[in-house]
Amino acid sequence: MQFNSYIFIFVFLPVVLAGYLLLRKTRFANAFMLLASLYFYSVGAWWYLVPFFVTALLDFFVGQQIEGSNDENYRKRMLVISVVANLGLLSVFKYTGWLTADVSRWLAPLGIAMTPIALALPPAISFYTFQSMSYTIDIYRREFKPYRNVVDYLSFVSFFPHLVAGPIMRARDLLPQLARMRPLPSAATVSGALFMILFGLFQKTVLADNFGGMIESIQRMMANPGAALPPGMGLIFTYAFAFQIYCDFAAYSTIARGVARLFGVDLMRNFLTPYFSTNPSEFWTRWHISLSTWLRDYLYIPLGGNQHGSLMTMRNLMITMLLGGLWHGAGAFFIIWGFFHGLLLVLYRFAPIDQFLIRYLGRFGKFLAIVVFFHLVCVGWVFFRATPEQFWPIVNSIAALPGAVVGIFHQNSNYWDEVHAGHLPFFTVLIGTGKGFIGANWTFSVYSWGLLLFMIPAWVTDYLGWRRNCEFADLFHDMSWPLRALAILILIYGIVFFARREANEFIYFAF
Amino acid sequence: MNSFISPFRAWVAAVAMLFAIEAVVYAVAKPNPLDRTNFLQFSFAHNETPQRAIMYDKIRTFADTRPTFVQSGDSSGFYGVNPELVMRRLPAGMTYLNMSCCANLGFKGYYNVMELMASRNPMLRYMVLYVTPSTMPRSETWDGSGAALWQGTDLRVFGDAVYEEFLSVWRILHLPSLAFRRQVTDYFYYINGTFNEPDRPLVVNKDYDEFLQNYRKYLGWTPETDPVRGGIPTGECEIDVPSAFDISTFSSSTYIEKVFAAYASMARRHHSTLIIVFQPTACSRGTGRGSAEAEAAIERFRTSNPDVEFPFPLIETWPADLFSVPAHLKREYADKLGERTAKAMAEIVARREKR
Repeated sequence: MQFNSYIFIFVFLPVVLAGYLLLRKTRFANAFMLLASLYFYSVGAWWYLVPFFVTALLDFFVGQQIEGSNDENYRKRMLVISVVANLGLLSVFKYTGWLTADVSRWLAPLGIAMTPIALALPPAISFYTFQSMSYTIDIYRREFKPYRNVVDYLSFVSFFPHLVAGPIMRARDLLPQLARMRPLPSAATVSGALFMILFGLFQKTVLADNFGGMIESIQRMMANPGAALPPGMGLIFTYAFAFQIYCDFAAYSTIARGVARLFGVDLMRNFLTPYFSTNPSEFWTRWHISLSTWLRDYLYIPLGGNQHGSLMTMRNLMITMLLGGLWHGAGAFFIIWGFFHGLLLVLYRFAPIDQFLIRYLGRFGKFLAIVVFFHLVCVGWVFFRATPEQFWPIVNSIAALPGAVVGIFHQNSNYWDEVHAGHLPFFTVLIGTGKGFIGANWTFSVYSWGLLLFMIPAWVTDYLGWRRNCEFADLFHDMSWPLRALAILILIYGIVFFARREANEFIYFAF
Repeated sequence: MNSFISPFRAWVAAVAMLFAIEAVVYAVAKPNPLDRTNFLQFSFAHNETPQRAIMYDKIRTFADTRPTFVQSGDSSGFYGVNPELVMRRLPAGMTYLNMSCCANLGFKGYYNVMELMASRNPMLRYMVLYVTPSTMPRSETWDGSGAALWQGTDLRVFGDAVYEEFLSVWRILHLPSLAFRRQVTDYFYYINGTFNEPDRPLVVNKDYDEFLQNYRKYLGWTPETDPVRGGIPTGECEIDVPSAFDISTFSSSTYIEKVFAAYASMARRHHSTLIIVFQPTACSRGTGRGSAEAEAAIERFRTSNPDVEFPFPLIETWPADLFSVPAHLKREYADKLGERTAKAMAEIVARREKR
């Protein structure tokens, strides 16, 4: 079920909320939430529940076994079983298609025919696998005691607001909240939660989906093999995807947090204005925070973190980011994306560009550091989104843009000579040259306008949040009530008029 | 109580403002309820899908025209049946409306169009499902929208949208100002005409232009516009006859039976007669590629639904040179096809009205 559907907003959520409020003080509350969550998850296809229950029940059982034993070898064996089973199941669903397709390609020249195996990927499997794994690992580390009540445990793994696309919650943060009887959320909390849901819907349907529409259109321009993109369209593609993936994923997290608050549950923040980061370390404390902290705690630190010298630190960073890339999906470009981010982390560790800029240029330097790092992140997004066939048309189109700009100045060189001679006003010729550029690069100009149109609300809301070190939706409580009313009205009308009508799933459903 | 209400002041004020704005829009502009939909996309720098635009124009124009017959189905009937020809053979006062569109409306879409017409026109007496045997019911065209109709194309089935936008309970959320979505999006997306003509047709396409010129005049029909491709296959017809498991009866049945049964049930609910018409084909009847299986499914359906009319067999082979593409006859043969339907409708009416 999608958050951005009438059936979720006007039927499922109110009904489940009403049921929860009725049963809140009884021992059936979590059983009810569990059933609601399972329905939410499996309404598209019941078989999604099979890998879900395999993962969840295995870890519940393993957790009990680890806790019940003081034999370190046995505890370790149980943990290994859990990790291997979880990652094995995840890998089967996620990587079989990719690997068998590659193997069949390699075997083809040898005259061996092999049909690639195509397995449907159950949504959310990457999220609940990591979540469930953290439960057993924390018990193994003696940082968390397992819960004996399987209903409480399953309602933690399946809690519908965050089940499909995170945040990836740790058992120690979420399970205690779910296992106790929670007080009713205050009116102020409910009001803020509703604003989070509304803002998330705006981010998703108006911003992310329209950026997505631009990307689809540009991809259609590259549909024929060898088709070249007009100059600059590769840049539009890159920026549009940077904002699509951010707005899409942040929207899901914001809605998830808002919905959870209606049930008296606090989910962790998953995004914090990431495009205002000045360096990769900061970026990963602001982007998909629940995944990056998971990778830090369960992979980077166990590998040794930064405790064993520069070379080992570099190795650990690269391994962590490569596996982070692989977590996102099966494909060489996801690995390259992870590798690229690993390189950025290493690069900034040894050459802290941002610190240099800030030291010598002050606030302007910080602005520059943000701009530079945002563009580096954008380079990574090209690997993330483009297919191998689309990569070079995108790069070529970006490379052709300066030529198109210079070309238009060359075409109008006579007028510019007149400007130098003082016969024509500078701005008149500049405007004329600009119009010439728009005429010669019509598609690029139209798309640039569209990009700007949807980027402005994304930048402005993020900037307002960044100044207060929070997200825009958190500012609701600091606004005066007339301003809140205006914000609500703008968001509603924004959705009514500008939400993209073609249904679009949240991007991270695919991971 | 006040402390509980206070945090919601902003929500109350926003909703009050929204109602006030919408009341003013409703009072001043009196927008047509059929315009207050999300049926069309109005996406940035993106043309409407021609089929969606055609369906929207037809619904908007004909939703309340009170026809006696409504025809729904794929493009074979859209290009194939000129209602003027049919009405010449019908008793005076009976009207025939061609609401057929396209295969990517899907069987759910043809169904929803009939349901929409029947719900708004209680006098509707005949529902004509007009399809080509080459696109018989299957999962992609019945179980839900969004599936790609043909592999390798991005033509997606959109029949659910007819229900969602014109029939479902969610219509109550369609604000009066939604009728002005095109003007608002145009204003922002194209800077009030700078990047695009404000009053341009929904689709930039000469076939759509021709449709716009014709469909009002001919009650939904427009002459075939496809370029003649030639090479029309004349061998044995290939017909998919997939089955689906029905959880309610714990049995499996073909999509043909399942889907036609739903149509028959709808027709009964609206006290109408369901007529299922198959477009002639250039291919011929056979046994090995699904046609015998499809005929058997239809026969089973006919036996259990004797009130449903099948004026023609599933496969009626016409010479290949009459066709422009396998599903369409060339425009110069539209009269021949119209006459075929007209005679059949007249015969059904004569027989049924006599009872």
